[in-house]
Amino acid sequence: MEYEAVIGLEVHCQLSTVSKMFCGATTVFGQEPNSQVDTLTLGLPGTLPVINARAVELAVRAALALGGDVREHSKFDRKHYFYPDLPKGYQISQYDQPYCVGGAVTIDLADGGQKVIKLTRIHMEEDAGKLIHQEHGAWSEVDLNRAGTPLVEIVSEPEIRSAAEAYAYLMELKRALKWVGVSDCEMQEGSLRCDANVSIRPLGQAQFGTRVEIKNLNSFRAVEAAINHEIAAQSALHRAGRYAEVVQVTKLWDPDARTTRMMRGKEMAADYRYFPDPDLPPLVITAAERERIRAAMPELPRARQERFQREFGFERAMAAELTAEAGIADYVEALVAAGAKPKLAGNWTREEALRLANESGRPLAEVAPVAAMAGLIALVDAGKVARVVAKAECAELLASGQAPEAFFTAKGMIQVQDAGQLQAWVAQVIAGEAKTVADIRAGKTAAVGRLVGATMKLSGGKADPAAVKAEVLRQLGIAG
Amino acid sequence: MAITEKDVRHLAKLASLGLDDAGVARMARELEAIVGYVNQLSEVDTTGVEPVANVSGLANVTRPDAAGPMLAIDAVLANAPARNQNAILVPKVVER
Amino acid sequence: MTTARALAAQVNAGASAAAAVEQSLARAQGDTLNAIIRVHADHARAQAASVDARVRAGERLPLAGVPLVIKDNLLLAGAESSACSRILAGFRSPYTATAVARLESAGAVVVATANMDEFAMGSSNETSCHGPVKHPKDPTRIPGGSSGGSAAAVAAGIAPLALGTDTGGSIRQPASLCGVVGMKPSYGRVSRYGAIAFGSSLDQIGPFAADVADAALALAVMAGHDGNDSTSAQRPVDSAELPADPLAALRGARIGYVAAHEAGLAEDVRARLELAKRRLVEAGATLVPVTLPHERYAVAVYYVIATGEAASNLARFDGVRYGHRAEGAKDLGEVYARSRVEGFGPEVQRRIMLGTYVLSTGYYDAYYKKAQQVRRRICDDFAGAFAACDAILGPVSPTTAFKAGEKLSDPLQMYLSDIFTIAANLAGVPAVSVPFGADRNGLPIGLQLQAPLWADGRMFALAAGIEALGR
Repeated sequence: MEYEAVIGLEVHCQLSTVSKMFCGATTVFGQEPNSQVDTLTLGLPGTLPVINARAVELAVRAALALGGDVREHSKFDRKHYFYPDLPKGYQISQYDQPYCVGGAVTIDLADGGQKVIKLTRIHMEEDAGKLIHQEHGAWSEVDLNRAGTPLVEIVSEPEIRSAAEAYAYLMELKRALKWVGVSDCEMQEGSLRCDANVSIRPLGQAQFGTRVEIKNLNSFRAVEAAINHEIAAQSALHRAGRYAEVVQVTKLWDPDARTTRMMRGKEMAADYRYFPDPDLPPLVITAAERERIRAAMPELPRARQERFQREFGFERAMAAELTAEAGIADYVEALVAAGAKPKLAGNWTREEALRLANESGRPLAEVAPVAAMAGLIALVDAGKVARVVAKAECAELLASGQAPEAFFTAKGMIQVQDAGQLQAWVAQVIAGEAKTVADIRAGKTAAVGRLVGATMKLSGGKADPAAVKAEVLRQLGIAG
Repeated sequence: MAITEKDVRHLAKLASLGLDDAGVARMARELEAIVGYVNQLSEVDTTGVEPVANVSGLANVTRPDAAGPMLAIDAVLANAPARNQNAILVPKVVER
Repeated sequence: MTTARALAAQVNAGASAAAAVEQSLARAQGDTLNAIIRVHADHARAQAASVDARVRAGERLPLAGVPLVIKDNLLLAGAESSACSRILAGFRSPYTATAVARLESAGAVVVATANMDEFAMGSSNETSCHGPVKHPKDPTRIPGGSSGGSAAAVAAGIAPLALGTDTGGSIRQPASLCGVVGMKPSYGRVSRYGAIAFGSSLDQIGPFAADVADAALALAVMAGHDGNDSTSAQRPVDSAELPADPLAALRGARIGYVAAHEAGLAEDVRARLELAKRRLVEAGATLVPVTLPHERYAVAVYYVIATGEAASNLARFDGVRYGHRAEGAKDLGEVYARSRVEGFGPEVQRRIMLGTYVLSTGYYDAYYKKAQQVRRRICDDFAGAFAACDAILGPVSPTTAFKAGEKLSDPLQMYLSDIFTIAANLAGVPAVSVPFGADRNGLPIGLQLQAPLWADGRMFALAAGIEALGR
């Protein structure tokens, strides 16, 4: 029996604001415990929430970047449950009137095609704090630094069909959100978190199977592994006639054991008693406001990727790589604007500039200034510097701050292309290599290489090898 | 509609109120009387009536994204029933 | 007792704030009504000294040296606040409520904290963990609630000004029973930041004073937008100035009254209300009959909305970060369930349970949402009435101060004592209780004025007129 996996992802993304969703405590990652706590974060009596305007702006940007429908009217609701990382005993979230409905994420499939995964909704809410269980002690420690951080929760329709698609979905989501400056989207830092809902059904069956929720996924690879694990487990039970053992529960992914385990003590469908938060007047996001935010946004990554494929002729994989981040794409376009041929701009960015940036940890444009890079590319394109020489010298050139032509001239690396000089050198070589010439005329065309090599040696490595070869063929009267 | 002791136990669980059996029985009686009284609201025709969100008619109340005053660690922990030098303590939660 | 205005004038003219405050502290220490649960001697002396220094430096402060008593649900940095509940035993706030801070900025001096019904839930000040408050005129009676301690403190002359909170009548009802002025501002007029929340869409902080002019002054100082409270209004604050001739405001005023309000009143209360109406007409006002057809549902609406909001607001009292934690709690579940059942009194537990019920799945539409819809009807009723009149005159409480223990056996009985005050909280309109004589036993009777949203200033002017008519 063939099964189809039905997967939905819930992604929580922290917004890049200075202060929290409803108060002025700060949101820096990795600080001393309980060092970013104010009276509201602590849930003290008498405190009241006030909405962070920038959080709303970033949330709207996120919605627009994902093609969502930003609603004019929305409100905040209280979601009640008791847990030590939730200081007020309720989370301020959005229930039945989220600020965004719909949207979509387009992913590239391995077979070269594309797939659109629709979103159900996006809503704003505040994050909870952290509970750290003492390994050897009898206590759990409550750290409220994270409590109150602004989040958007992005809910996909259950249209994902494999762990690989889930991975691609998360990569695309991260690209889009990072692109418009909404979030750092770092799972390691907790600014992006993902829960997966996984079920299976026999191929062709319309009815959904029983859904299992998986939490504690700490990396994109963990998401992939956990989903594969769950699909396999559920399929095995179904094949063994034990599908009834698949129940709607929440499980935790154990990254070390690479398996899921039940969340003990988790209530079945808790009653959150949602109601509109009386401390917060409703939000009205007008069409004008939405358009103002949209107008201030850059061209979105997928559109840019497709434009790179169309206008620059990049293969999809190359285009995707060069639009992984806005900064990279901007760099490539700057090179093109400075005169570099797009394909060369793409290759040199990918092979040299990005490598140098990653190795040094410095920004692209700082470690590989556009003008210098464009100049280098121009020299290679014109044949003035041998490509292999340019690659070898690239790092030193960029670090030197010198103009490329001056740099290579000083090093004596400018290739000679002067027709007269080449003609003289080639003629001299041909005169001294009668046997090789005879071999060539006898059909051993590979021996042309010997003449080229000898000319290169005679020129002290300065001749343009392509031009030399062309001259050799010309002097021998062979079509090149 | 009767408020049963089962209802009360369910509500007490949601509200984290550790009522004992006598408390549950008493609460069932008292709640039943009060709920009986408020049930008269069903008499009022409210077809098409918007629930009140807030009486002041305010909307879009926001603040600029800026850091505000925070509590020093001593102030955070000052009222905590159980604490160590940098966190509030609760009995260890077994899993999660 | 000297009014707050007169005292401030004296201090601004050179009299000692410290001396006035010492007198008030002594009276607070000597309180026999159990109206005062905490005296803030050190804080008060430091504040008084600071006021004296500021005045010497040339400042003129509207409330210079005026002693102030605050209800136990209003936070003062460094002081204990408990909302008269065991669950907040020992809690010391790191911050001060905006309203209190503004009054102290204007020269007022917090001298003591007043007793109240636990978490403001009550109409008799009998549910406090610090014991009940006695009525200033008759110790066998209650002062009203939930701000019973604040009302009694002003009535007993401990301080000329006190602060309370009003969610369903908790300022006006004790004001009426104790014979002082008590006012609930328009919802959003005064910041709720630093007031321990009960019913978020209903709560307002308001003043108690011996006369209307003092109450108006206190409001003008406290009121106004606060960035810490998203429900506080941006509107400009009315000046505290009242007409020199209090009766002038009454001439030509249209005073509404609801015929249905006369039913169920104690005889003497009805008599005083009728007398007030007659005197109003004599003073040149016109009486206009108005109706509030949905007011009969106000108590039911209130007990759904207020308890739902309260159950939510009280979820933070869980024994984790502050307040009472059950001893020997072995796991998290016990921390929550035992701390809360030990820390909350029976009335608070009842309301939390009711509030949980009305918000729970399957009941939300029929209860909370339905109540908010009926609430809109009540708001519309008021808008209709105020199209025909400038303010509505009526009773505050059906009776004068009742005996301690009289209404404790039946919670519903207690809830119904708020029958005339609750609608104003639902509609958000300003309302004030003005002393208007006493019953045959000398127990005070107050009359209520309700005005349109944001007409707080105009309402005070009319109230001053009624106050004059009552003398």
